[in-house]
Amino acid sequence: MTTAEEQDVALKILHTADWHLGVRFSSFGDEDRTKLTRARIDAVDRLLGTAESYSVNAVLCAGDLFDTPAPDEHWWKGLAEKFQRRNWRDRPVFLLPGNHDPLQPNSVWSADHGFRRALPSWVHVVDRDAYEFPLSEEAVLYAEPCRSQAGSEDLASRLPLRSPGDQRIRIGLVHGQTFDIAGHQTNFPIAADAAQQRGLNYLAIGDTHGFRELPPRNTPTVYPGAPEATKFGELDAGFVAVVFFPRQGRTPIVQRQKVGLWRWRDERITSLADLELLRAEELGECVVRLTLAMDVNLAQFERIEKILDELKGNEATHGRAGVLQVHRGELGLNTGSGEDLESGLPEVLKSVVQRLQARAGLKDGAVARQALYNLYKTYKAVRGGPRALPGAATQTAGDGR
Amino acid sequence: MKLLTLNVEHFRCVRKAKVDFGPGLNVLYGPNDLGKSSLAAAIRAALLLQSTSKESEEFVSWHGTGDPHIELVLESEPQRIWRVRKTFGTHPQAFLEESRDGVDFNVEARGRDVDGRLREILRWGLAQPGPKGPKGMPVTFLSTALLAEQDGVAAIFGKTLLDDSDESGKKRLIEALQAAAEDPLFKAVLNIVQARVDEAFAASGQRSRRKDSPWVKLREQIGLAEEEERQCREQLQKTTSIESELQGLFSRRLDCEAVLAKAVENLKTAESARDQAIRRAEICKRLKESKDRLTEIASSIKRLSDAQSNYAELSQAIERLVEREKEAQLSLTEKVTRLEAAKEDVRIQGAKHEHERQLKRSAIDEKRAAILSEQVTNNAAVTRLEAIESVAQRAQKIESAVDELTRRIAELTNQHEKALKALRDLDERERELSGIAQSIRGKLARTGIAEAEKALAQIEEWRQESNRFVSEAIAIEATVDATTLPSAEDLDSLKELEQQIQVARARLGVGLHMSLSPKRELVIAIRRDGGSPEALGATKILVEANAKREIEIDIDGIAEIRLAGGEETAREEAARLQARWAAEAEPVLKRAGLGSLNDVVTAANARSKNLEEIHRLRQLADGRDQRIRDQRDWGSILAKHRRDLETAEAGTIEGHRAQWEAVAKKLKINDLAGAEAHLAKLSAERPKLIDRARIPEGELTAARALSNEKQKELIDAREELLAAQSAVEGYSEDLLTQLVDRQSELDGELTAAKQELQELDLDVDSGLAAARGSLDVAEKEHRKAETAHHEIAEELRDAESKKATLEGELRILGETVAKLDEVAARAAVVAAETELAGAAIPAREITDEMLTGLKSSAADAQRELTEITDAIHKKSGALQHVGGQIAKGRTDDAQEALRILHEKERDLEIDYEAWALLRETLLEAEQEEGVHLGKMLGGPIVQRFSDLTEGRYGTLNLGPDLETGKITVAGEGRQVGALSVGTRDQLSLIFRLTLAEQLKSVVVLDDQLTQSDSQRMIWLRDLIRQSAANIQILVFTCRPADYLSPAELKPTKKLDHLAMAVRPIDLAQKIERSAASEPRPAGSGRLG
Repeated sequence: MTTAEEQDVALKILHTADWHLGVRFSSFGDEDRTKLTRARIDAVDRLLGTAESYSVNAVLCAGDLFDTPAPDEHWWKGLAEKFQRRNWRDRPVFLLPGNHDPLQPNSVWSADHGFRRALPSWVHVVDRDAYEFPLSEEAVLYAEPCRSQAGSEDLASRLPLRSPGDQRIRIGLVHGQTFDIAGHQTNFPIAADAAQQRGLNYLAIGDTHGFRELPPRNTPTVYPGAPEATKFGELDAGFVAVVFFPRQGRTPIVQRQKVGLWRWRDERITSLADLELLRAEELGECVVRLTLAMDVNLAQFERIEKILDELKGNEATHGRAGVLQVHRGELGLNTGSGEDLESGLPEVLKSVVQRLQARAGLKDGAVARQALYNLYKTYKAVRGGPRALPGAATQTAGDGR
Repeated sequence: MKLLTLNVEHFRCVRKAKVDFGPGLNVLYGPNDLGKSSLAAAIRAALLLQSTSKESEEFVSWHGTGDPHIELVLESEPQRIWRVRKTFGTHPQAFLEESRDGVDFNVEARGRDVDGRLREILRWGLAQPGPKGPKGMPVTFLSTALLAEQDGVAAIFGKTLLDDSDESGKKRLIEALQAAAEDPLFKAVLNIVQARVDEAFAASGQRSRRKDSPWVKLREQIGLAEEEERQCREQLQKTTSIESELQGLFSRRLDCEAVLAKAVENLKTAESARDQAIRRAEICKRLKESKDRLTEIASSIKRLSDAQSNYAELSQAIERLVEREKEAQLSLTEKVTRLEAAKEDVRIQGAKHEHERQLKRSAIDEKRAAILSEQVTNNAAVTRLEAIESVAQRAQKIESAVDELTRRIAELTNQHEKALKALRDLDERERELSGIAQSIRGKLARTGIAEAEKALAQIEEWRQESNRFVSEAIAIEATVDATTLPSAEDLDSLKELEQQIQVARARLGVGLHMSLSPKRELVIAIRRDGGSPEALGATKILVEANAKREIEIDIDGIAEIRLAGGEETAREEAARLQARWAAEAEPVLKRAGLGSLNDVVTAANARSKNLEEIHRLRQLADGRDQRIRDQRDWGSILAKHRRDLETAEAGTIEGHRAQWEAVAKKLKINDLAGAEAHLAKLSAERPKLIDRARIPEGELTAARALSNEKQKELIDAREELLAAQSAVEGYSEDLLTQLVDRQSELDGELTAAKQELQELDLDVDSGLAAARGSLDVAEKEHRKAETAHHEIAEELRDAESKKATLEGELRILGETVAKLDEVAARAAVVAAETELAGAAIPAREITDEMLTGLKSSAADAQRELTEITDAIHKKSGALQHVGGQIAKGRTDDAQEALRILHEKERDLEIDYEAWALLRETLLEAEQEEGVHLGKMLGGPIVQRFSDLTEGRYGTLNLGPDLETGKITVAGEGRQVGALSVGTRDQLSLIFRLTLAEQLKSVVVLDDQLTQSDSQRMIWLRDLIRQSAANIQILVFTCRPADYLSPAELKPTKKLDHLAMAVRPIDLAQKIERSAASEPRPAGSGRLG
C-alpha cells in the first residue's frame, strides 16, 4: 500500500479469531502437549505485535479465544498479562464470546471474573446483545455475542440494518458458520449474504480455523482462521486479517498476514530413503505425524529406530522434531531366512533364532519377528557392536551410513 | 553336600563306632571283617532306608544286644547342617534335625516324615515314601553313583536316570551341569532380556501391576481417555439426538401449519350452513308449538269427560269394601278366643308330667346307690384274694428250685472226686520222668567237658603262632624305621631332577678344543668336564686339550681359566638345576647315608619289600587273632558242663536209677529231648486236671450256698401265705369265684335301672308334645284371620283416597276447559307455515357434532402447533447446553486420542510380548541343549579315561539320561561289560567322581580299586586327591597304602596339616566290635 493510499484509508483493523487458549491436545503426550499449548499463547504475542506494526485502529477478536467458557487461571492470566504489557489507549481491542467460550454466568466473560478485572480499559468484551461501539466518526462496530455452545439463530441477522443516509463504515462482528443452503443449522448459522443484507462494509466472523474470504468483494465476510493450527488437516491456519477501509465507501482491502510458527505435517513414509530425507529437514517447529508403511529387514529396522529416537529425542537430548507422533501399524519386519543372523552366534542362540524364525513366518508372527529384532539388538549391545553379527552388519553398512 | 560325623550302635557286627569325617579325602582303613562295609551300609541306611522297613532286619546286631541305631550329621550346603537319627529293629524311630552351627539342632521332622524331607534335601531321584513308593533299600541312579556297595562298584553302568522313581535327580543334574556349562554371553543376553520382561511382567507371568509398570501408566491414560471419549460420545449422542429431533420438529411444524389452515376454512363453511339451518329450525318450532296448542285444547275436553265417569265407578266400589271389612272383624274375634283355650291346656299338661317324673327318678337313684356300695366291698375282697394267690405261686416256684439244687450238688461231688484221683496219678508219672532226664544230663555233661578241653588246646596253639608273627614283623619294622628315605613322590621328583641335570649337561656338551702356547715356563694343571685335575707340571711347549663341555686351566701363580660350552641360557639352566640338586637331593642322600640316587632307589625297593613282609606277617597274625576271636568261650563252656554234671549226679539213688531206666525203655526215651518232651506233655496236662478238679469244687460250694438260701426263702413264703389267708374272713378256695359272679349280677342290675330312667323321660315328653301341637294350630288360624282383616281395611283406605283425588282433578279440569281459545290457536298455525316457506334451505345439513368436530380439529391443530413450537424452543435451549458442533469436535479429538493410545498399547504389547517370547525361547533352547546330560558329562569322563589308559579308549557314548552305551576301542564300539574288571572299575570310578564333582557331593568308594595295577593305581590316586580338593570322598579300604603315603598312614604332629585335605582314619580304633562269644545267627547279613 502506498502512502497516498494509506492517507486515503479511513480505518485499519486487525481481525483475528479462534485462539482456543487452553485446548488440551489429548492425542499427545505431556511434553508435546506443553509445547503445543505454549505455542498458542506465544502466537497471541505475535499477532498483537502485528497489530502494532500495522498501527491498526482496532483489533477485533471474533470468538473462541478460549477453548472453554471457564478456562484455567493459567490461561486467562497469561492473556491478561499480554494485554497489560501494552498501552493501547487509542487502539481498542474487542473480545467476542464464541460458541466454545460463550457468554454465560460464571464464564471468563462475567463482569466479576478475575479476567475481566485484569483487563486494561481499552480491551472491551462484547458482553451484551446489540453491542455497538463507534470506532471513529466514520466507523462503527456492531456485535452480537454467542450465549451458548450451540444455537440455530443467525446472530448476524440481529445486527441493525443500515439506516438511510448512514455513510459510516459499518463493521459486523459475530461468531458462527456461514451456510449456503436452506435448512436447519445448529452451529450459529450465518447467511452467506448477511453482510449485504445488514448493510455492512465488512463482516468479521470466526469459527473456521483456516483463513477464508467470502464474496462479494465489496462487502467481504472473512474468517481469519486460528493463529496456530489445532490439529492436522487445518489448511491455511496461522493467519490474521489486516483490513484497510478506504474512504468514500470503496471496497475494503483484506490482507492475510502470517503469525503462526508451527507446521502440522502428516507424512506417510514408504521407504527408508524417504525417512532419511525427512530426517534431513528442519523440523524444529513442526508437529509431525509419521505413518510408517513399509517392510524392512533387521538392520533397516534398527536404523528406523535410531532415526525415530533422533527425531523424538530422549532424556539426554532434544528431539529434532518439535512434536513427533509415530504410527507403526503398517511397518513390517522382514527377518528373512535368519541365516545371516545366526552366523557367529553360540549354538544355543542359533537354536533360539531358528525357533523364533519358525514362528515369525506364521500369520501372527509379528511378536516373533519383534523378538528376533530384540535378540538382534540385545546381542549387539552385549557384544558391543555390529561385528558380532556379520550378516546384519553388512546390511547396516549397505544403508550408506 | 558332605558328611560330618557318623555314629553307629548295634549295627550288624559293630557294637559301637564313631567317625568324624574331614572335608576332602577320608581314607577309612582296617583289616577285613572289621565292619567297614557295615559303616558304608549304615550311611546308606541313614540316608535312604525308612526305619520301619523290613530291609532293616539285615542290620540287627549279631549278638542281640540292642536295636541298630545310626546317627549321621551332614551339611547339605554351607550353614545348613542336618542330623539324621534312625533306630531300626523292634522299636523303630527316626528324627531329622536342622542346625546352622552344628551345635544347636531343631527337630525338622520325625517318624515317616524324615525320609520324605531327606529325599527333598538330597534330590537323588527318589519319590516320596508312600504306599506306592519303592520298597526296601531304595536305589536310584545317583544313590548308585554316590553310595555304591562294595560288590556293585560298576553298577552305575547298568543304571539310567529313567529308572528313578521321580525326576528330582535328573533335574538336579541338569541344573548343576547347566550352571557349569552356561555360556557367559548367553547369560548376559538372558539377563538383559529378563530385565526387560521384569519391567512389564510379574513372576507369575501376569502383567505387572507395580507403579512403574508400563502397563499401569498406559492403562491409566487409556482409562482417562476412554472416560473422556465416553463423555464426549454421550454429549455427541445428545447433540445428534437433539438436532435430529429439531429437524423432525421443524418438519412437523410445517405440516401442522397446513393442517391448521385447512381446519379453519372448513369451520367457516360449516358455521354458515349451520346459521341457515338454525333459522329454519326456529320457524318449524313455532309452527309445531301452534299445532301442539290446538291438539292440547281437544285433549283437555276429553280428559274432563273421562274423569267424571271414573268418579262414579269408584264410589260404588267403596261401598262394597265397607261390607267386607265388617265380616273379617267377626272372624278375628273368634280365633282369639280359641288361642287362649289352647295355651291353658298346654300349661296344665306340663305340670302334671313333671311331678310323675320326679317320683320315679328318686326310686331308681336309691337302687343304683345300693348296687354301687356292694360292688366296692366285693372289689376289696377280690384284691386280697389275688394277693394270696400270688404268694402261693411264689412258694411253689422256690420249692421246685430247692429240689433242682439238691440234684446238682450230688452230681458235682461225684465229678470232684474223680479229678483228684487223676492228679495224684500225674504226680507219680512226673517224678519218674524227672529222674530219667537227670540221668541223661549227666551223660551229656561228660561229653561236653571232653570237647571244650580239646578246643582250648587249639586256641592256645593259634595264640602262640600269632605272637610269633607279630614278633617277626616288629623285628623287621625295627630295621625299616632306622632308615630315613624320601617318600615315593620325593624320590620321583629327585629322579626327574637328575634326568633334567643330565639333559642340561648334554646340552652343554658341544665339544671344546683348547690350545695354550706358553711364552715362558709355566706350571699348568688341566681339568676336563668336571673330572680330576691333570697336573702337567712346568712346561714351555704347546699344550692342547679336548673336552665335551668344560675345560679348567690352572696356571700356577698366574691365572685360573675356565672354558665352558653351550649357550648362555643352557648354562644358566644347568647351573640352576645343579643348585636345585644341591638343595634338594644332597640333603636326602646325606640323611639316608647313601651316595647316589640309585642307592636310594635300591634302598627304597628293599624297604618296600620289608613293608610288604611286615604287612603279610601282620595279616597272618590278624588272621590267627580273628580265628581266636571267632571261637566260642570254651573256658566258660567247660565250667558250665562241669556244673551240669555235678547237679545231675547229686541226690541220685541207685535203686531209683534202675527203675527210671526201665520206665525209659518202656516209654522209648533215648535222649534228653525225649524226656523233656514227655515232661512238657505232663506239664501241659496238669493245668487241665487242676482246672477239672477246681471247677466242680467251686460250683459245688456255690450250689450249696444257693440251696440254703432258697430253703430260707421257701419258709418265708409259706409263712406269708398262711398270714394272708387268716386275714380273709370265711376264706375258702372258691370264695373268689363267688365274689366274681356277684359282681356280674350287680352290673346287670345297674344297667336295668339306667334304662328305666331313660324310658320315663320319653313318656313325659310324648304327653306334652300333643298339647303343644293344638296350641300351634290355634296360633296359625289367629294370624291368618288378623292378616285378612288388615288387607280389607287397607283396600278401603286406598279407594277413599283415590276418590278424594278425583274430586280435585274434576274441579281443575272444569276450570281449564272453561278458559281455552281454540280460534286463536288455529291462526298461529297458518302464520308459521307461511314463514317457513320463505326461509333459505342450507347446502347440507350441519349437525352440532359436525361443527364441534370441526372446531375441535382446528383447536387440535393450533394446540399441536403451539406444542411443536414449544418443543423447538426447548430443544434449542437443550442444544445450547450440550454443545452442538463443539461436541462433535471434542468427540473426534477424544476418539483420535484413544485410538493413538490403543495403538501405543498394541505396540507396547508386541514389544513386551516379544521380550517375553524371547525369554521363553532362550530358556527353552537352553533347557533342551542342557537336558542331554550325556553330551555334557561325556567329555570330561572320556578325557580322564583317555589320560588313564594313554589314549587306548576313545569316545564313551552316554545317552540323554546317562544310560551307558558303547565305548570306542581301536575304532570300534564295544559294550562296557566287555572291558576287563579292573578297567571297568576304573572307568566307573572316573564316572562317579565326575558326577560327584558336578553335584559337589560326597562320594563313597567301598574297595573300588581292588583290581587295579600299581601304575594305574598311582594315576587314580592322584585323580582322587585332585577331586578331593573340591568334594568330600570317603574311601573304605583294607589297603590304605594304595591311597596314603607312609607318612600319612602314620601321621606325626608335623603332618597334622594334612587333616584338611587327606584324613586317614584307622577304623580299628574307631569300631568297637560286638563280643564274639556267641555264634552268628543264621541269615543275619553279610560279614563287614
